[in-house]
Amino acid sequence: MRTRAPRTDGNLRVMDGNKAAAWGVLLCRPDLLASYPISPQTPLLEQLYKFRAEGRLDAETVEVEGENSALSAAVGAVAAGGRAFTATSSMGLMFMYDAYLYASGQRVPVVMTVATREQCAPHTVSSGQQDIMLVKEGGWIQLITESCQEILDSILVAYRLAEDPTIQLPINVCYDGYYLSHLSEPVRVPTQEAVDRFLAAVGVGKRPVLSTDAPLSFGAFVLGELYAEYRYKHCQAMQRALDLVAALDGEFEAAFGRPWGGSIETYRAEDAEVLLVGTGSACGTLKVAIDRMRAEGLAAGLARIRMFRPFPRRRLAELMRGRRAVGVLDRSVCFGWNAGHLYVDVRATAADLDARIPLVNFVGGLAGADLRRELLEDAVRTTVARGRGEPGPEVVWLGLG
Amino acid sequence: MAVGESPVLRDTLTIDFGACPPGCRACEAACARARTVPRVTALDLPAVGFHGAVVCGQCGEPACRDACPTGAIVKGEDGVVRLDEARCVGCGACAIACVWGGVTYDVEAGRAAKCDTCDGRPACVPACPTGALGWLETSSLARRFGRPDPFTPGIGLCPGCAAELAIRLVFRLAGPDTIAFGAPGCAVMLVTGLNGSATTRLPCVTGLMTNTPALMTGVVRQLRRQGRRTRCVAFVGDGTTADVGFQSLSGAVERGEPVLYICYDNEGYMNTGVQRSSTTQRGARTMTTPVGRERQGKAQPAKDVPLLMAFHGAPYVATASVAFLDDFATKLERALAVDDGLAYIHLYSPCHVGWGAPMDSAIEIARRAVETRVFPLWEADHGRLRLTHPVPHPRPIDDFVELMGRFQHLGPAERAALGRAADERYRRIEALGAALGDV
Repeated sequence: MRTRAPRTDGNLRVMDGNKAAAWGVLLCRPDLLASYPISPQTPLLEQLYKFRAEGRLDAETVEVEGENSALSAAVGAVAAGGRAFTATSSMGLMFMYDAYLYASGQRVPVVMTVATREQCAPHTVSSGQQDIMLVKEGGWIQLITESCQEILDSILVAYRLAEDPTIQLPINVCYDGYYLSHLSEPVRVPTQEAVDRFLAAVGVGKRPVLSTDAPLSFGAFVLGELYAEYRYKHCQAMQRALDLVAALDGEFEAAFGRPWGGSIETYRAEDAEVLLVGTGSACGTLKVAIDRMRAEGLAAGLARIRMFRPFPRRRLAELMRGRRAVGVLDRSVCFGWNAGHLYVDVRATAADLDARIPLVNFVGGLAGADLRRELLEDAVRTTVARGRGEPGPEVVWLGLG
Repeated sequence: MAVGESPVLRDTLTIDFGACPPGCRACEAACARARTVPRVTALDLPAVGFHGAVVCGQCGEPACRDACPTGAIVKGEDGVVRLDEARCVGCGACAIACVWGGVTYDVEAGRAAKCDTCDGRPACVPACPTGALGWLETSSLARRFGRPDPFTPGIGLCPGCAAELAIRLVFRLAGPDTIAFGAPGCAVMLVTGLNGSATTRLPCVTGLMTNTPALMTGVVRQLRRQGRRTRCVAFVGDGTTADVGFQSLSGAVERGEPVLYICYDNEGYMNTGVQRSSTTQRGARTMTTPVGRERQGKAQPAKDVPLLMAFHGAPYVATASVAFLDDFATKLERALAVDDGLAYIHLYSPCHVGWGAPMDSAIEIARRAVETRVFPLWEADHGRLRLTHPVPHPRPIDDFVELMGRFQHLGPAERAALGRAADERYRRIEALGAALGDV
């Protein structure tokens, strides 16, 4: 069989989000892939197995019997000095939750993509962000992307960030199921040489590993003050990641000739009277809605949270300062607060501001419900109205009644 | 010399005091003929009813050696304590230091005399008319387990715990190029360390109850990728193996991960205070199968995990017992040599605390479990299944049941049912052996 050399020449290629993720993983040269099928991430793993079969990807493959084992096998490989990858969605993420906490508590720099999806029950396989929101306090770094290009780029950033000696934390690269996982877009695939240079600062030999040469204990039993020290250092590393991700943006641009973007992307925010805050692919529609509302004279702007954990609190507070109102778009539900998860974070961030700003939450796009442009234009209008003192409910369920 | 670094005694004299006839002294005579003065003393104490041969026990840390002012007494690499007659000045300090009467004095020669086992061919043994003196060929066993214990001494599991004995033996045999894996359970304390203190010189991983075989998968794949042959050996309990971690184990067996997985089966969740697991035997009392007016112990029979593993197609599966260490060592050696898939050993390891038995009873319970057919010893080596310790004439089930409080509520009918279940389990293995064993 004739095999072609991989086209990593930096050309534009049209691919969907799963394939963009697969290219990102391929370029990072993982030692081990662990996989368990679940929609909508499955085509990503299939693509990686295709790369493996074609000889492009030199990695161990572990076809596990469930997601808990998928993440655990990846953790084991990283503990022994390797670079590992796995991917999941929705109930798969829930099924690996004990291993998820184990990975972060053990400071294992594994990278796992999540093609985000609603949770059961009721049963559904549709897009939503409830899965990643439910694990947001699990001690992982979480990046949430908006485009197929950003998926690929964020995987490169994720390995560089996760394996940095000052961080040593696992990272989720999240992308909206179906909206991104199955959406084809032009994606610029960097060269292998450029990626190798970008990742040269991290990798094998840069951290302690399991070996009989220099025995160490992995998964030690800890009590009291020492446990607190573990947690304290974990929190410190999370905060360092906020600083490092800003510095890495420069490294990224130097390596690939374009920025990655850092913890928050802003859109027409400089002179905006009201600020919308969101994550993921819905922000694409939100940008169009903002453009149209600007044409009607409403000065709205957007802050898209790209790094969701650790939460870029200081930067968001700066962006919120002086706005007449802030509207938050959520594609998930925080049952305990009768609101969306992102809204709870934004509301907490508002406490850092001197002046009180009207806040409004828009919950929508659950289980793949269409967040039409008109709905989001209404969201912008509502936010502007709240800024002008008009009363209304704190949480607006878009498209519901 | 640090604890655990003394040479281990290999072959040894054995003495059955009960079989020693009064006034015999054949051993003394034989020793005197072979050597100079007898190094063995046939002690006759009719007043206390004691008749027995007294001879040097080849102590681990011999007091005679420490007392000798000239360094004439040395413990050899074979564990035997020898006297260098040329350096002995005849002071007798050694004979005084030994509280066991293990050193005698050769008055004519003016120096000490002690047993050196005639370098492995003791003259006294064939001379003994009743077989009270024996020569135990422990060499194979001791050499198998002869490597240093990689765990520090003084890490207490419960006094009398069979699992502690077993885990130490397993990792002595596995050797230094080994990574030890544990999961929450009693024995994990030896693997996991505490608050920054390591308890073993081996690298070790404490996984979750749900994921240890998957963690081993990642580690062993990465090690092999680096060209390393380091062994990955797990020592985890039956709750992890048979219940909550069963899926992960099943997956690792099916994928053929080259690791050794040892389940020590104490028939329950002993670390959390004695709750039933799926390997708890029918009728056993635990905290979640208590005995009352409406319910009396566990209602279901034990899940036969080793048989399930054999039928998964694992290349090597065996049962083992802490009471049959020679058999266990053979199986460990075979399991450690497996590189074409997962090797599984199901080790019967009584928990005297949870089973309501005396502190010194674990080994005896384990022995009787085999001898009553409750726990058959077998192996399936690449599909060839055979009993490794046939029990053609089983002891009555009461010999097993009577040792433990957990069965004391059972009446004769229930006990008989337990016996029949044990018999069935044994015969199933026997029949499989006939069908799948050596031809």
